[in-house]
Amino acid sequence: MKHRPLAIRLLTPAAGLVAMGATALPAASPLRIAPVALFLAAGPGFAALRIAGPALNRNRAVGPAENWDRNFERDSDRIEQFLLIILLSLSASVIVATALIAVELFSGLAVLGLLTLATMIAACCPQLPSTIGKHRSARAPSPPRKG
Amino acid sequence: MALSVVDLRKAQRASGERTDGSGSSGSRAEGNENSGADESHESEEASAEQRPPGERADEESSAERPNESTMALSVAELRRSQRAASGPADGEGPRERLNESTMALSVADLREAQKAAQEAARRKAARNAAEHTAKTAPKPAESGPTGESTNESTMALAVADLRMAEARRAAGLTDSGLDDQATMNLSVAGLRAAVTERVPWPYLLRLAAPLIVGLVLWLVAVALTDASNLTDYGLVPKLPIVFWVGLAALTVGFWIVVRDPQRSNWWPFAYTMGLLLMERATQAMVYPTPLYAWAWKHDAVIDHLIDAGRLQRGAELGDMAVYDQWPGFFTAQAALVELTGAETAASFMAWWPLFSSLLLLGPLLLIYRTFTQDRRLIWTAVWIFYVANWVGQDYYSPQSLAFALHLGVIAVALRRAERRAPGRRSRQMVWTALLVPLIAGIVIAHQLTPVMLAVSLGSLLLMRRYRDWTLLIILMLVFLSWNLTASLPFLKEAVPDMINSFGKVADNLERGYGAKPTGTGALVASWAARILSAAVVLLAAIGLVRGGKLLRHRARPLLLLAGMPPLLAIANGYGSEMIFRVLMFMLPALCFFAAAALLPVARPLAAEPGGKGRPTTVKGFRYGVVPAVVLVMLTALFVPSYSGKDRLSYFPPEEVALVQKLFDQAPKGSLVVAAHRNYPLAYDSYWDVGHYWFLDDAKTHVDAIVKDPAGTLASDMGGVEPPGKAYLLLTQGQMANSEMNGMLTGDDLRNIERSVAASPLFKELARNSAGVFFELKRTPAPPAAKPAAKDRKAETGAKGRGEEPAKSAENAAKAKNTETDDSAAGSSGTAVGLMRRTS
Repeated sequence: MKHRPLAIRLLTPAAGLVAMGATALPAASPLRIAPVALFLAAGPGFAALRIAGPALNRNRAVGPAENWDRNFERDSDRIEQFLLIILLSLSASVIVATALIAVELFSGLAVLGLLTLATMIAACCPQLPSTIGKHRSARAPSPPRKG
Repeated sequence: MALSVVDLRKAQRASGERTDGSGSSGSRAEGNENSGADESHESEEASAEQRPPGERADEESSAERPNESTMALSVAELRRSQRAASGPADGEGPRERLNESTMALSVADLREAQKAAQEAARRKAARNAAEHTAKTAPKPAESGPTGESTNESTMALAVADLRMAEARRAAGLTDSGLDDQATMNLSVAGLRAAVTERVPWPYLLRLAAPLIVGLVLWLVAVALTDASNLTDYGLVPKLPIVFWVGLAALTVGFWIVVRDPQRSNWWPFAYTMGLLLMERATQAMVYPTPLYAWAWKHDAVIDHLIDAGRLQRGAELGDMAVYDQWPGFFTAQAALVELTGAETAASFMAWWPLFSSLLLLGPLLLIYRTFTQDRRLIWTAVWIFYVANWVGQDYYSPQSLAFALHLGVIAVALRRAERRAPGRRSRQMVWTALLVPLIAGIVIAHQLTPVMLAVSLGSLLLMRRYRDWTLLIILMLVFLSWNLTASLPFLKEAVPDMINSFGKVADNLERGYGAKPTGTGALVASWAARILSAAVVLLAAIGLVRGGKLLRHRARPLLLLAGMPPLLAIANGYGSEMIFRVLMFMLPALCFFAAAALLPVARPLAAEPGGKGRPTTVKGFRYGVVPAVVLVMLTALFVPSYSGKDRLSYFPPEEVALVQKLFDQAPKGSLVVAAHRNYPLAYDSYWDVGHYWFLDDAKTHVDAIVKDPAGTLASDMGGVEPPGKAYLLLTQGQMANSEMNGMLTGDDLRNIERSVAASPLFKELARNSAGVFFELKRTPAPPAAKPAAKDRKAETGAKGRGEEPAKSAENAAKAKNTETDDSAAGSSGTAVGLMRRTS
């Protein structure tokens, strides 16, 4: 999650706006389903990870004892980011839809609009500084790996 | 690799400028040592199964490592040479250079140089081979199956040439700079050729052939399958032989690609995708309508939320209000239905098993990658999980989503939720904050999964590494916040049952009435599922024993995660489903150890070549053949376990149309009576229309219906007030369920249908090949001694809600209709209908 210009960062909420616009297309049209499904599946999570990315990437995760595969840790981090993007997005849909129906303001467009707004705010937010997760101690990032 | 070539060019320029061999003695010594290591490494590589050069260039593959390390060594040497060559410009005087030169001409160096000179002829031939390889490299078709090894030798020879040239220069044996120049040119050409060489198609095809064959045969099988008249064996006998051949080819191909621990992850990934398609998409492609009455029920819940636009948690929906108390999944799906413009969720819910299974892949990979770098172990565990997860909680349901979120939280927690330490708290705050939405999503979507998550996170606290309560406390806070507010009505009713069932392990693991498989087909499916589960548990036990202390030490968190779910059987029966849920939550951890049973035992790092735990390719009968056979058997067993009871779960379009026709004409306040809820749209308009399934009733009353069907049912249905009407619906789904679960025979149901059809109390409204429905015309005089079933239920329903019995005829049916399924499970002692597609 590198630092990107605002115009690039606004692509995620723009995807939400495109999804909202796509709802005007005929029902069950692939051109309508694709942007909606794509944004709901990845948009909010992507926006959230952009903010937290630098702070998260600063530290090593717990890993296996072996260390022969040089790209292993990088790939694991990527898988982790990918699954967080998806699962955060799905969770956001669940939470927002439930909140809206609880206050009797539920509609599909309201859910999509709120998620788009959230991603827009997230796009405008500065990233969390990497120092948040920086170790101040000399201790290893994870317990020593034993074989 | 590009950097390497650039460095080599620099080195080439530097070597042309060099006037002495200063500073190269150390490099040579290292070079020779490393050369020996590289040779042994190359021989190890050559003994490994052939891999394509292009795959080595793939970032995802670590197969490039040997070459990369070799390159890195040569580049390091060349850099040192370059620095040495440019030494005078940095201020080193001629005297120092002379001294270094003198030092360089050591005996060892001379011996090396002599040895190098003796090998000159052989190297020349090798250079010719390298040139030849460089020329033929862009023509992968000509490389044939040995293209990979050719590429390796190209790289090795090129690096060897560079070392040779350097050694000769250092020893003063170079005849002319031109010779060196030619050597360097050849080396760079060889390296460039090795870098840019493409993957030979034959090699790719050889690895991809099983996948392609499997998928093609699968598509053929799908096209050939006629699912119109399912037998008691479900989909299994309908699948043509090509399906099984394709499945076997896919599985064998998977083992071929996965047994080489250095092959790119994309290969097992592709095969796993193929498996998921064959496993979870076959039904969606074969059947024209979605499977499972419970999925149709969830479709009805979504319709209700869209219709109401609010949550109704009180008595107005009867027991169906429980879905409004855990509405997370349904509200999100309602939004999706509205946004996509789909008519109902039924439009896409047939594909949900595939989607929900795909959601599990990321968490599974991440969990396994926390404990090993061995790709064989990781992907074999993933494969076993997918073939062992026959439980069928992947259908369109809250638990399918919650399970994925649960695994996601566990995966991240295993990697990030270490105990607090100075400087680590702030890092944990970020990770914890990211996991809060996932936890909230689980809590508001499903009631059992948060408990499982709490148990899992609690088990990790037993380890010193993960002894941090933050995540568990947050989970408990969210859980309690929701359960003490939104879902409090359900808990008030359920807590007494929960307390009663606590500690009754045998009862909690007992499957309920109506879930006993009857008939050869149902028994075969049940036994296939049992054998599959037992095999995985047995493999896991073998893996644990074989892996010894090392495996148990490395994967101790997985051991804890596997051991915790059975404890939940002490607490609750979860509507007779607990045994299946326990299995499902254990599987991710179990499969890791099951996969370990099929692979060579991991050794301590100190015992591994290089001390880094780099595994080698498995060969021979034990590891090359036996695991493939085991995987094929497990994969084949999945099919009857998963789709062996499809006769219960599949509803043909005619059945859907018939039920839809009924609900289209049913006025508000009507009552639909059926033998069992196993039919599509069973809960359609449940907020307006009542339901009564007489097989849920007491055995004595069912006997009364069998004895005098028309009279008893008319009596049961007589309390509906206008404008509502009473309907009797009998469909093939109900008949299948009654027969296969031992409640009524097909003859009994057909007798009921004939009796009602002949009775003047009923009027037949519609009939097709999938069923029939009648309308009650008039009510017979109720027997004086025995109250009608509806009155008994009306009393039951009214008692709980303080209503007048006479006014609760509709609610009486509702009171009976929702005590099953996830959201109501645990609240009812009735076991009927609590089964899934499980045995």
